[in-house]
Amino acid sequence: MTRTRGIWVAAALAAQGLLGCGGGDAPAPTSPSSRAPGNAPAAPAAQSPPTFVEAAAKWGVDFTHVYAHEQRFWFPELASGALALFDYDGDGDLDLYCVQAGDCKAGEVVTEGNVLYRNDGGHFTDVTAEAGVGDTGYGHGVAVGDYDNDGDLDLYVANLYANVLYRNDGDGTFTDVTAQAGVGLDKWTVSCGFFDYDRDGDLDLFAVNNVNWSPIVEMKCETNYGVQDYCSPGNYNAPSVDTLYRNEGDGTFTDVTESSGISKGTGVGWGVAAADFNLDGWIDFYVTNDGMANLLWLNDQKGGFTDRALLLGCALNVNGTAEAGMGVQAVDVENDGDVDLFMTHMHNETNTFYLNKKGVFTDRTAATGLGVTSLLYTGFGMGFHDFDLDGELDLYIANGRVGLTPPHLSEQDPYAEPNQLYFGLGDGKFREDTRGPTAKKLLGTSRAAAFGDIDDDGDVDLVYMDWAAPVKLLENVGERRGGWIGFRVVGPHGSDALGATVEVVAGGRSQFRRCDPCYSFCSANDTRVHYGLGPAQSVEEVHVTWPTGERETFGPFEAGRYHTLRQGTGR
Amino acid sequence: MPIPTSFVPRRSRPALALALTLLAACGGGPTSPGPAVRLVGGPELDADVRALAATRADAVDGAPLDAELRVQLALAYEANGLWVEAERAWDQALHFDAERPVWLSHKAHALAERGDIDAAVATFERVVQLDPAQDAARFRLGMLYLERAEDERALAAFAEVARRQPNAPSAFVGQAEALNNLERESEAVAAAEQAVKLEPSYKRAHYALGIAYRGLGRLEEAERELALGADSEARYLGDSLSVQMQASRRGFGARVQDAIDLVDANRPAAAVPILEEVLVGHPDDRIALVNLGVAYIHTNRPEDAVRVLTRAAELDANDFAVLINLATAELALGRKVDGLRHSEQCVKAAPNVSATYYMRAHAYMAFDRIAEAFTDLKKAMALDTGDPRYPLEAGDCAVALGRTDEGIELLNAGLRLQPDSVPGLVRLGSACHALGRRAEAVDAYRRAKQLQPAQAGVKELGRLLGLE
Repeated sequence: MTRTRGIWVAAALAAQGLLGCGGGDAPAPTSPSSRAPGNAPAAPAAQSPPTFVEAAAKWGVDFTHVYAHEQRFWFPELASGALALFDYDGDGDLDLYCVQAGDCKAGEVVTEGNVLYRNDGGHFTDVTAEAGVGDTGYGHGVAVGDYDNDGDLDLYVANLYANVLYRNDGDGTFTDVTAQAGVGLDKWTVSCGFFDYDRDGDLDLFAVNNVNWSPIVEMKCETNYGVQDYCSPGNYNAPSVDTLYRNEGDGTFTDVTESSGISKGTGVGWGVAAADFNLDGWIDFYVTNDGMANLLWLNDQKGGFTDRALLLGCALNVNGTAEAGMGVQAVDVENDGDVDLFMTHMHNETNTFYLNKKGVFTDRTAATGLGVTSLLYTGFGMGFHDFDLDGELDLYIANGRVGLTPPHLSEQDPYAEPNQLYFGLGDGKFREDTRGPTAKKLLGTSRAAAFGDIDDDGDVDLVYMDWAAPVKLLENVGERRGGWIGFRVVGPHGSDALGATVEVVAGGRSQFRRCDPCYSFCSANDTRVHYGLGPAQSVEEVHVTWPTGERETFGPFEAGRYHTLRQGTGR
Repeated sequence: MPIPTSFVPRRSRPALALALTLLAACGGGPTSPGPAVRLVGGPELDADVRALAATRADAVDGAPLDAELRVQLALAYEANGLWVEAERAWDQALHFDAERPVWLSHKAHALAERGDIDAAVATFERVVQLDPAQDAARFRLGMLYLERAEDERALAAFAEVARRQPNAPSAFVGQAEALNNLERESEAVAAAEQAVKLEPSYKRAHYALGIAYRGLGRLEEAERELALGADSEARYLGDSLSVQMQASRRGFGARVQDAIDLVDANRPAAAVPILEEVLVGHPDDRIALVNLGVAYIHTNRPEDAVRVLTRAAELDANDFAVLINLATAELALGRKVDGLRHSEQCVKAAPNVSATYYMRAHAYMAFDRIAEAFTDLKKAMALDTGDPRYPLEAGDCAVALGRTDEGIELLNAGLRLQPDSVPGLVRLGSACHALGRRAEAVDAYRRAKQLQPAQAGVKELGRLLGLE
């Protein structure tokens, strides 16, 4: 993550090939970069007010992130905490779960615990105690999904130490079933998600593990200017193996990391995206690693996976460089039916967009307009949504530094950066709204960000977590440039059909979305699929490809409201 | 981005100097661009950087009409990554000669680094208009064109650099990257192959070649080239100020980082004096001590390595990085008992770190305890599947233990991660030959011969196979 200097390990006694002497090139300058914000590209011509207004207090959200009681510069401090927007009580609106970090001195975690807020229509109420989900681990991630197929959404909390599975009992309470389910993974887990990779009708669990960390591997790192700072993950020489759990359908999971082949890849993972990247009908996994090659695990349809990221073009950027992969989303930006990849990186690297063509990815960051404008910042949470309802996906990115690089943008927080909003222009191109996402400039060290229609008014809002600061809730109040429609897609058990692809045809044009809460950075998002319709007045038809491979058609539908698509009721 | 049209013919420098002299003599001489640019950074800035900036700024204020002093100040900021100050300082230098190409080029670089890409592009374009021989500026311009998806312009810029500097592989890589973006893969292959020919170990060239092969459907070659190109880094061309700029690098951290970069670039001898100098001012800095120890190891000075690493161990006896390097140096000196003891401490200190098992495996090998070495190498592999050394050396151990089939499998796994490992190919060829798998042995030999035809192991394998 940070490119601070640190101790590195000699190549020991290995025979390494000597580099050639080269031709006429001079060595690259090794200047530490301290880019300052410059004159960004022109803002959209729109005269409308900025898209969001910060409204956490109005909504009663008073959660404040804590990464340590005393800054030790331990690596897990750097990107802790997580957020989930999900409807735990089945009343149709989004509730909010905030995962707390705390203090992790020498393995003893001291924390105020996680908080669940129930959406009471315009106001959130803290229901943590009655719901029983106030886990007190040092939290880093969260996943939602109905693992037991009883029609409500369960919670998996990823921690620095043991993870926790909360089963939703359907009556407003949860039960900690970690032990009986067998998913109390005692590694440093960050992002995680539920997906049905074996198409057996129940949700399996993929957990991304970061550095093989314990306090003993900590070391002192400094900036190029000689002050203590966070180390880069590479300093630890301790990449980790991610974990795959297969759901046995009886409330238990089996760790299939070894047998599935997932153990054959190591990395320093932060993000995971799951989708059918090669269009064979089966869920594959993509993991963003920090300073190491990303992994694309292709599903062999027999329970096994093989990493093909390098050959298929999404392990390294266009220059062959491993970037500091943070947040990630599998998203069909071009609406051509296959799933592209976008991920956030640290400053001096672009955020990167990999265009998918028949299962082969090409780094097309430059062509999207998302490249040069991201060089200044370190991106974490992110989400593509049609915030202005014009029929084109827009993009929100939550930024925050991981190193002390001058000049500082905030006197209070040397790691703080502004977040960014991009508007989609069509044809896979974007332009930054240089006014920023909000009228009042917000600076913070942002990490997790979760997206969803919190106020059920038909546009997409978001929450994000700033380092050592109160959670922010951004209500979408921007100009509406078209109509909208949304769908909840549910399988035969009444559960959200995670992994379903939903193609909406409106005004003669198709838009593809996926029922997938697992994107952004260490966050779980609204499971509903949402579309801006631009000038279209209604939706002609909707084609759903279910996680089990079946395809059904629904519609027509009236715009301006949410509908439910139930598997087996289409045509 | 349109080319600026306000082209002004470049005045020759002697003429300009004469003009300035005449103006000064007439009382209308050059004016000062103002007080020297001072640091705006916070207290986190290294004292050495502050001192350099202050000294050079004081010099500027002492002779405000001296353009060269302004240049030195700008270089100080640029060399230390202080882009806001660098841009302002270059502006002041340009006050004396607004069209000095190399100064403009450095200003453009500062603009790019602080995020103003449009202005940087326009300025670089101006530079190459003023002086078409500014290859470094044209190269950076090409890179910025690539970042803006202006691939045709990038291609033209790199082609011009390549025409002028036919021995600069990066110019050919730039062409290959632009051609890949334009989906002209056959031409990209030619450009990338030229870069590889100029510098066979240039990773970025291999990566561009891999992308081109993949676009042409040549997947086996693509996979090999992409693996060879993994973890490449950007490089740029130097210009007439590069040496002065590098000499302006200051700061404890920056100097240590420079040294690390030199070791990474297989230039450990150049890293040693930097670290030795750094330690004069910071004798108990563990990071500098460890890195100096590593540099000594790489320059075959294990005794010196043991000396500085022992000092580092006194500062922190449980630091696995200290222990691992100390064990390495001790083994190099033949102090096997010490090496094993420290490598065991190392595993205990960091049981989740693959390199610690790798280290202990080497200590076991020193005692010919191959089975234990093999076990540790397998542990290292389980902890980090991306390091080719582990399967390659585990393969060696397996062969030595008589488990040749397993050894071949491991060697192949290692070669997938590092296809250009000549020792790995030689070992694979030998193992395959031992099992009578001649076709695989010959294939490994041919690949090795292609990479290093004169290497002794390659020749020996060739003789073994009756091919030399």
